[in-house]
Amino acid sequence: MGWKNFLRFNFNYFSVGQLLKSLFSPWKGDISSYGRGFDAARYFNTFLGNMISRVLGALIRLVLIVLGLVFGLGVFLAGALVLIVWICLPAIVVAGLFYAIGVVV
Amino acid sequence: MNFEIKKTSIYRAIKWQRFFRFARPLKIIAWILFLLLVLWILFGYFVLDRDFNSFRHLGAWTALCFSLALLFGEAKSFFVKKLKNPSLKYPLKQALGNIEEFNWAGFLDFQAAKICLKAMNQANKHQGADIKDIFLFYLIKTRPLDVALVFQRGELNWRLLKANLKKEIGQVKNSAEADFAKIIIEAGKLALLGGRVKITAGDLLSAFAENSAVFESFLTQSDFRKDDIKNLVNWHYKAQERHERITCWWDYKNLMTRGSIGKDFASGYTITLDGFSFEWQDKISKNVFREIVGHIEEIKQVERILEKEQNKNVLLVGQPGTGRGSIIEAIAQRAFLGISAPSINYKRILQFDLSALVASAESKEQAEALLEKCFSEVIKAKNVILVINDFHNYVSENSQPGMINVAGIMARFLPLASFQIIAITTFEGFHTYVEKNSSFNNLFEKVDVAEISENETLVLMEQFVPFFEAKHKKYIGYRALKEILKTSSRYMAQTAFPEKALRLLDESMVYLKMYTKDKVLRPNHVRKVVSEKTKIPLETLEGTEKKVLINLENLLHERLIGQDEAVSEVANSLRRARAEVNLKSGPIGSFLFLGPTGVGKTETAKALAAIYFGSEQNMLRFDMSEFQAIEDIKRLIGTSQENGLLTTKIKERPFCLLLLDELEKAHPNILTLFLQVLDEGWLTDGLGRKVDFKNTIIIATSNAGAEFIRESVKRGGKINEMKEHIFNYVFQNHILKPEFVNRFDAVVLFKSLEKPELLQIAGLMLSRLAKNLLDKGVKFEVTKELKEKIVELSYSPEFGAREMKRVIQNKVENSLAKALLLGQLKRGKSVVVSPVDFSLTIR
Repeated sequence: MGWKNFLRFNFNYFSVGQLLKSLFSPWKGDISSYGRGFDAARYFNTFLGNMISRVLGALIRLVLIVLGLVFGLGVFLAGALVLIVWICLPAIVVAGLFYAIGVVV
Repeated sequence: MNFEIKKTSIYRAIKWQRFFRFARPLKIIAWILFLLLVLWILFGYFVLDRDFNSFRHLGAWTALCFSLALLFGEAKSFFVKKLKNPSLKYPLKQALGNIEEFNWAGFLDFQAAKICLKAMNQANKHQGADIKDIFLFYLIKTRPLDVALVFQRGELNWRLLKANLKKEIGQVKNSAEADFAKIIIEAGKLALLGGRVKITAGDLLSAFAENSAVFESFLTQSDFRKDDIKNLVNWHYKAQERHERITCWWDYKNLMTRGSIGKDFASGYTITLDGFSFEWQDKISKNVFREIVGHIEEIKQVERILEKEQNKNVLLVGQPGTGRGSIIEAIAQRAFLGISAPSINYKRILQFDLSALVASAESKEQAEALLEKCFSEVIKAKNVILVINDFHNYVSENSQPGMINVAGIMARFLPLASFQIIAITTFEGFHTYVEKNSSFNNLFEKVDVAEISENETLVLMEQFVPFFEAKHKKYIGYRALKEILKTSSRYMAQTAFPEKALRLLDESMVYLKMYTKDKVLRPNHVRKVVSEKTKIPLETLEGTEKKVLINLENLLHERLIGQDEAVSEVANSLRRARAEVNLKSGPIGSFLFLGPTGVGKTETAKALAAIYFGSEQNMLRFDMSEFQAIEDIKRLIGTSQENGLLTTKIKERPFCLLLLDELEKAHPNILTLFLQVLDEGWLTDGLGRKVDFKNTIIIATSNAGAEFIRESVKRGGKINEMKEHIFNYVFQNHILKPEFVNRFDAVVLFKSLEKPELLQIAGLMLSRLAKNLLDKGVKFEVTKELKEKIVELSYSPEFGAREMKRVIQNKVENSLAKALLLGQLKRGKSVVVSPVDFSLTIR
């Protein structure tokens, strides 16, 4: 249960789902209007600005998504390790007892 | 009913407990030894510089201690998690649907099962005793933590109950097994209602409160109700659950308080807006486990509106103190945890401080520019829901200094999809300012916020108890909470629940800390605070009320002559109402006084106000002949422009006698208004607010049928016989409707006054005059002849004793006043008034 909570929290903390959905959205919604009428230079300028904003947004989001996935993997592995130790604990106890008694006696 | 503990999984835990109870201390000992050995090895290796191989033997001991610590730890964990809490094969709900099919002992938790097993073993020794008493006895004797806390919080004497039970167990009763089955099933139902998976010791206690005669009589003796036990049990389990969740740091909600990053990467900056707002989620993250009590429907409604495609702005309308803020808190909490509607989840709920914005601007134009900028930021951010409190202050056409009318600017933004707002206002504010601007009003969806119930308020107060106890280092008794509910409901009607109860709890704790040395908050402390706040002598009132009610006839007759039947009927009726013999939710008492003019109807009302409410000043008098048109309803209940004559006064002074003179002259629709007041004890005013009449005595007077009463009295008719004829007369002539008359607690007939009674009244009036003169040092001798002369001059069958006051004024008081001013009547003199020409003889 705790393992599941950590995994869920990790993906929520790094907002992986939301970031994937809005991967190519402009950074901080910063986008300019093309305005009325057609002016090629202005159009190109705006397009370039908006594109930079989108690429910048996508890059930062990708960094966070990767971080989220890496940490997620870490949480998964740590959880798996704890689970294995937990399952093996009786065996560890028995082995420890046998070893100790063997030496002491 | 199948109830075999030995065939349940929990029985294994009871059986093995004797072994497993050593697991914890042994685990601790093993860990301590392990640590000491490790330290010893480290000390030897580093400080004494010994060879590592020389520690082989010691290392084995260390490994042994470590292994044992793990072993005992696992054993404890196995016992607590597995043996003590075996999972149920079938849920309790299913068992309640088919009682005979299940072994009910399997639904008990560890403590409850242990107590039941002990009681069943003992039951064989006490043949013939009531099995319920034996079970309850062992429940009280064992007193697991949950039961002990119920007794402690309720300040109940468990020793007394134990002694009572011991006495009962000694008697032969031959109880049926069905009685015990009833308790287990009842406990099962209570567990299910409280959201528990298994039947606990607390549930058994609540079930005993319902079904055990000994426990019931103990509760009555302790001035406690069965429901109080249930409340306390639920309170304890809820607090326990909350505590467990808070300490369980790996719980998802707990982890969520760490917040998140990147959710606002696609949302625009709100730099200006941030300067004039605070984020609700900041508050939420500190306490995500706070349970929002009540307002479930309102919360759902708000979420539905915010989720809509169009017109998704909310207008929360409710009386201050009803918990409008807690609705916002609930929305913010759900958005924060991502469990609300998809378009609300993870949005920022910003409380916009418009007054700070106005204060920061140097001119109105600058304020408007700032406002426009803030709203534009909301549009650009796309993840903001704005909350504006006291919205009515900012949409008024005649803005006061320091205020601004935002309606114009806001109207442009409201239809936009990414602009969302929750505006909070009062009923008064809504009707006066918002509703009038219909095009603006149409941009909102209105949500009415009702007051939460007393039970919900109690649950809310229970949530705040740990906070107040920790703050003031004092303990809060359950009875004090009940007293807070009772007194705030009865004497603080102008404020709404839950605010009035929470404020009173806060104030009572401050009072307890500052002015007493007591360690526990009790009902008397609460009463003291309420008395000081409301100026109603609560302590004496509650104590003297019984005495007043018992002697009401005598007390009324100190001011009222004759009318024995009427006085006795009023007194009996009030006693019935206050002793709660008949269940009613209306005012304290309601009476219709019928009879000719000048026979003491108003005087009775005045006397009742003075006796019951402490002063004649506590009587509100309405001449109903002034309310003959249908438009007069507005004058009584108020509108957005004017205060209601009736509703405002009752809100200001809820503890009073309401006298409705000449009731039959009011417009029939006005009388219909009073139907609900007499029935339910409340009325909705012109602004939609509930006005409470439960602490009033309502007396309506009418002259209808006066002539008939006079004639009947002349013929020597009896009151009871007259009543029926009067009713026929009143109903046939459509003076009053039967459904209206029947709603009064009593219809009281006042007969015309006869000469001997008038003589007594004259005596009473003249003796009041004599008392006034005595204060000036003048003795006024009242003669029988004078009284007779006054009766002779003032008596008329139409006006009863009404003329008497005028005659005494004109004939006696005028002469006395002249003599006093001329200096003829001085201190130490005595005076007699001649009955012939009202001349004065001064001695």
